[in-house]
Amino acid sequence: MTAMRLNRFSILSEGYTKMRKLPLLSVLVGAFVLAGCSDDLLIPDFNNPSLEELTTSPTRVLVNTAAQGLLVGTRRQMGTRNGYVSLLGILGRESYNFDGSDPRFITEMLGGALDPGSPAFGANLWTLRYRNIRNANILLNSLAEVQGFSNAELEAIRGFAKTIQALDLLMVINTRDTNGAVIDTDRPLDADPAPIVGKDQVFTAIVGLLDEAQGHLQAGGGSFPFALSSGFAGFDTPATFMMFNRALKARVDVYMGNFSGALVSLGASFLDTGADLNLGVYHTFGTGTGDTRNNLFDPSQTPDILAHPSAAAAAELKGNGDVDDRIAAKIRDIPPQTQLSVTSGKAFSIYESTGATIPFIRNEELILLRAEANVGLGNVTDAADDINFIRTTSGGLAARTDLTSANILDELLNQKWLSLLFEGGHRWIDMRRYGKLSELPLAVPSHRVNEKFPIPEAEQLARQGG
Amino acid sequence: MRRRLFSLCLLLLAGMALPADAQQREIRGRVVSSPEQFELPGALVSVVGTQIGAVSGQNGVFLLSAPSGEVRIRVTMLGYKTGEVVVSPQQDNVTISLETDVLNIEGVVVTGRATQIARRNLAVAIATVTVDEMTRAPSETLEKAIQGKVPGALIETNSGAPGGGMQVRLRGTSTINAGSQPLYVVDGVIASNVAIPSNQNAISLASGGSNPSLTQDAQVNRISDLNPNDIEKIEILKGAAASAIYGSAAANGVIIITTKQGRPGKTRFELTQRAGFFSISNKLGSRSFESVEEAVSAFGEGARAVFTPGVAFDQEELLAGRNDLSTETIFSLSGGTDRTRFFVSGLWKNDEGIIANTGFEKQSVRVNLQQRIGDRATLTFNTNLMHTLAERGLTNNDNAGVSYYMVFPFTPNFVNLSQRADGTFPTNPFERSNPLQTAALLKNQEDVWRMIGSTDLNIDVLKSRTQSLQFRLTAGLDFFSQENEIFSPPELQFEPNDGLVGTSLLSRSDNLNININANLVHSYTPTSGSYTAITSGGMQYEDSDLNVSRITSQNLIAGQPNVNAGTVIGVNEFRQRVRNVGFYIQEELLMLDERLMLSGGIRTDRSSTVGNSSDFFYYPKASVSYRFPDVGSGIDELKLRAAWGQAGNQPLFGQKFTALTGTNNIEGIPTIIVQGTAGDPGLKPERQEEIEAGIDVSLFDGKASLEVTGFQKNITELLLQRTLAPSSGFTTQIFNGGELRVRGLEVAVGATPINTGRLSWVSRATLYFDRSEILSLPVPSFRTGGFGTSLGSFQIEEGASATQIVTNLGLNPDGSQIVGRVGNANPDFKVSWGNDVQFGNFTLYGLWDWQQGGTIINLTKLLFDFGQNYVDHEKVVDAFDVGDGTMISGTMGEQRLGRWFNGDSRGYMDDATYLKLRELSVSYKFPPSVITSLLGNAVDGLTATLSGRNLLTFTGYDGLDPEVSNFGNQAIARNVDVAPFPPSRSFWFSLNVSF
Repeated sequence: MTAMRLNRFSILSEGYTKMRKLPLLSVLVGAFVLAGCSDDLLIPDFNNPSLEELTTSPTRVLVNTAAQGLLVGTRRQMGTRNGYVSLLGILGRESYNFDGSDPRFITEMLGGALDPGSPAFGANLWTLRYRNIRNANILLNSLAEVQGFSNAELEAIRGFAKTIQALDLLMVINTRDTNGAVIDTDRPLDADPAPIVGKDQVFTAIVGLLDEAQGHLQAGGGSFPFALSSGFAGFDTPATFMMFNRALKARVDVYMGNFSGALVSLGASFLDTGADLNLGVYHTFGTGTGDTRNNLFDPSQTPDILAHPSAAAAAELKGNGDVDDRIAAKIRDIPPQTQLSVTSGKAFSIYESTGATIPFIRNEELILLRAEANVGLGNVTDAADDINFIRTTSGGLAARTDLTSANILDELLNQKWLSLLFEGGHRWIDMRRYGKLSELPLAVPSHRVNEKFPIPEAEQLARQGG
Repeated sequence: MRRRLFSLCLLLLAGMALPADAQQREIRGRVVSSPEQFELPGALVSVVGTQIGAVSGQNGVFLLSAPSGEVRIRVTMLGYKTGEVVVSPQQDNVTISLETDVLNIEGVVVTGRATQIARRNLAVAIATVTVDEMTRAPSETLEKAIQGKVPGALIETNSGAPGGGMQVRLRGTSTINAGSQPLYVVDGVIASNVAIPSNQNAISLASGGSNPSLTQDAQVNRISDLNPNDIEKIEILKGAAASAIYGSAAANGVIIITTKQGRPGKTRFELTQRAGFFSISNKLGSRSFESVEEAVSAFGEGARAVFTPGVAFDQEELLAGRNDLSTETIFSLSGGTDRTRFFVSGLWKNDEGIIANTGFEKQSVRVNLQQRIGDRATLTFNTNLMHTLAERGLTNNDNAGVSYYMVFPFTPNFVNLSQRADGTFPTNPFERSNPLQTAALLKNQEDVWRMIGSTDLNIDVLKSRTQSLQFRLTAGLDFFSQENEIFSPPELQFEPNDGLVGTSLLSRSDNLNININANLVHSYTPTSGSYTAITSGGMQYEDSDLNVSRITSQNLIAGQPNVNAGTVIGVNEFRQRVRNVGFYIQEELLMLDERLMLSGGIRTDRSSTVGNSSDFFYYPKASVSYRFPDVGSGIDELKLRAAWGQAGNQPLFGQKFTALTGTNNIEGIPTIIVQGTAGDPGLKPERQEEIEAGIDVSLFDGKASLEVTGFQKNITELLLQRTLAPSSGFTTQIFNGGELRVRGLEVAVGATPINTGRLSWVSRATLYFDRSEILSLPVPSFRTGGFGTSLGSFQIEEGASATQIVTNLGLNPDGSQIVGRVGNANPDFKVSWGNDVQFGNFTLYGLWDWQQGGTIINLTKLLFDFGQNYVDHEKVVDAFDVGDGTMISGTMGEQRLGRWFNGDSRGYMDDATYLKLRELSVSYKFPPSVITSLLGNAVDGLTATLSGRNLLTFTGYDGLDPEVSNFGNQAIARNVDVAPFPPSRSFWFSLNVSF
């Protein structure tokens, strides 16, 4: 382009008269001006996929990739040493973290008030959950724009996304409890922060999401258009995924005290006393480039992640004098470690590699949820059947014949403790629901059991116009 | 917008009257230098009060068509004072001699994209550095060549590593988060000055693996590729008042580089051969141990077997004590006819570093060709091919125990680390690596091939007595390809530490800048000659595309460096592309006998980096100057000037986007998820408004000059980060807001106290200081840079200086930490003083550079204190009272560290004051008779020079060098000293022959 112009100029300079030069020159100048104004300066972000593309001109591939992203988003902070399993485990006295470089795993998590300003501790387990909820909202909004999906496929994606949203919101309220949480999550960034609403409203919102998801999944056709990880084996079609959705609903029902509803939900879930207790849906981890490792795997003889000695101490013996199968499988002995007057000689053998899976929810919890619902409804016999099923099948223990309405709740909580040990903060959440946090053992008399995480400081500041 | 500009151009064209000159006469003349009477081709000759002009050609001869009657002819040329003669109506032949402009107070200076003006009328303080000032002592890079020569420019090396890595900051801090480097324009082409990290971080783990920006890699900013010897002059537009015409890329100032062109006449060949060496100029030293008990107490039981009384090694000398021969060959060939001119140059430079396997090589070939086409057009081709190879060793911060000066603090002087007779190195029992082994075996190379080329077409569309119209089109490109290769072989002591033996890192970066500029310049002087109006306008298109890809390969058990030889391989790619389009229009008015100069202009541009790339942003400017000639009482001339302008600083590439992350997967299933930082679709450039005012005085018949300039810059719409409610899914968002103010003063003084035929003395001095203040900050005060308050950090807060350093100042009675201001990265003031003394054929030249104040975060000292290995651990002093009665006893080093452990880090915040002898040279110009007898008639010049750079440093700073930046070029966070490359001085002998 330049060469042509130069050429024209040298001709110009040699022969043309001045009168003819001026108009030509102004045409040239005009051409430049036009070029300058019309040339498109839009340059995309070469290094990252753009959010704008996903929201305004999504493609089938992009939408599927975003749907798959929800799995990565919801997996964040699950396998980390200051993540959901680890921190809730510490609060519920399932585990310790003796990280030498950060004493707050003891001073703050066990001994003091949770600090809303410490992003790795008290203010933790909030931001990334809401980030994944935003991921799901972006995905859901993109469905209105995208071409190339059948209606059934769109419904399948909606059902999946809302189920994951409900799960993330459940994890938020599990940590914040009566402090409440934010449920109006699809606001523009320049809007005022959404209000923080009470725990009941949050649970209502979770149920709403799960039920909407169920409706979408029912219209979701025979398969998902996107890929699911191997952790969803057996639950990877809209119909089977719906059993996972109902399983989560059952957990929420129980947490809300809606025990009859829980039994209905469980009926539509994958609860099956004839199946493996580990049947369920899992977070998967890997060592490949870009994948995430499960850092709860800590095989050292002087590990950071330790087991609280109370579970092993409380475990019953089997008929042959051996310890409960669950403890034998999940806890290993190590040379006793002490940090800041806290001592343990136990570590976990639950996560046996950096690729070890962490359950979302599994059959054993569903059976225990049915037992809990029946306890709540006063159906002691039905509840005792399930409790004894778990005692014998999972623990190798003898069935208890002395269960009555007076002692069945404690037995249920004990079985939940041992069956779901260090899998997602069940001990802390369950004990809190029944007002029994004070029964948790304190390693040092001055320690306390924190009941809930505070609302993070950044969240509070945003509401003060800061 | 389009329509407005278009019609403006039409108006401009329509308004031109065609020439209708009556009587004319020819004046033939000659331009020569005084007193030597050398012919001066290439001088601009003009008839005062008209638009008639010419350029002197071969033998300095020019031909002018002048009006009849008496005329005044003016001749200007770079490096010479302006000459004027009156030519009577009868006279048709004239000789004009020009005096050398030693104080550089005359000549023409750039005022826009395509316009220039005589320096005496200039209304802004634009500094000009000419080739003579730059090449008196050899310099590796352009920035080194102008260090200490420009008031208002703070030019500092980031470490002593060979091959560049220097920061140029013009008039203080102009931004917090946006780019901090000036815009470099070489012959009309924007030259890339990007600094691409080498990826040594993959070995040093300096960023802990969490900071992908890798700014601790001792990276080199690419302007170092240029050959300083090719440059005719550098013009420095320091702030918005001068640089507004460069719009949204100009807030950090603009450095305009003009390369040499041939001159008509005899072909000149010039050859300079240099030989010299580098030598370490400062060492930290280390603690000496009297007894095995002392050694054991500092270094543990392991020291017992190693310690031998009386045996001590100077580890620094063993590492950095090399003085290998360095060479530099420079040649140039220039000349031409009145129609064709050429300048051809070459450079071959090989600097050997003071550490094994370090050094800097540079080769450069330049061909500049100028061809006149017809009598109205000139076509210029400038091409420059460059190659640089920098080997910079392994320095700066690390977390793996591999950087030389990170290892020395923990390595006592009694351990022998030297290579054994069988070629192997002993294992360092006190740290994870043996620096002598690392230096000998680790390869860290940065290999750059670069091409800068421009084509410039200049057409005199109209030329008459009263007006001229010039069209100028420049198209150019700057392309470079940079390859960084780091190979850390398996036999290195530290290599097994991560379980993956041997590391090979390969990074490849390509950058292409394309520029097209079109300009029209119309000049008009009425027949009365009462004023001259210069109207210029034009359009610019700029495109810049950078692509960086990296491969990290580990576990190279066989020792083969190919990246596919490893078993653990990581790849990464980063791209950025920026496109800008701009327009400007500018009017300059010279009137009242050329005493009053009025100028105004406006630039508008749009850029792909701003939120809405079709939005235009406007940058106006205006200036005025007035000369008072012949004031009397020794004052030849006095000029008052004032200028105002605005310029922008574009957002960084990607800041406007709300990006998704596409690099995570789950079991290989690809995913995208949102990132925590939200972009702003309405992002704008930062806006700088600058006012400057000054006074220029020429004294005692041109024997002395004084320039004083005060300025104030207000930068608004700063690119800041705000914290969002995390429940939105995002944590931070980039936005425009806040205000930063910088005020400062620049003084330049020049004098020729002695100027007899045989002896002359020229002296120049500069003084500069600036102060910044954050006037408003719409986000809570925040820290940036550094490693946290206990190790010194930079705090951005309303009402405080932008570059203030805060650190731990002790504990409150309740045990909580007190954090407060302890210093400033910005110096109190800078002074430079250069002197040329010529006596007969001898010339002595020296340049002093003095920085007063400024604070350095000296973490190298902290490391030595940690290791109990600093010389201060020998100094016994009184116990120190922390304040609450707690006494800290022990040696000076122990007390400093003890206070640090007690929450008081002030012992590591050191004063950066220094005085350096930057340049020194003595040269002897052989007399013609000697040359003839030695080399015959062909040679007409022979000069021998002894020179040196950074020969002397006086400083109270107890680190290696008070010029230091672990994080490379930084808007705020400079002056962090973590295990830098040690500084060196260089000595050179040169011979220059010309014929």
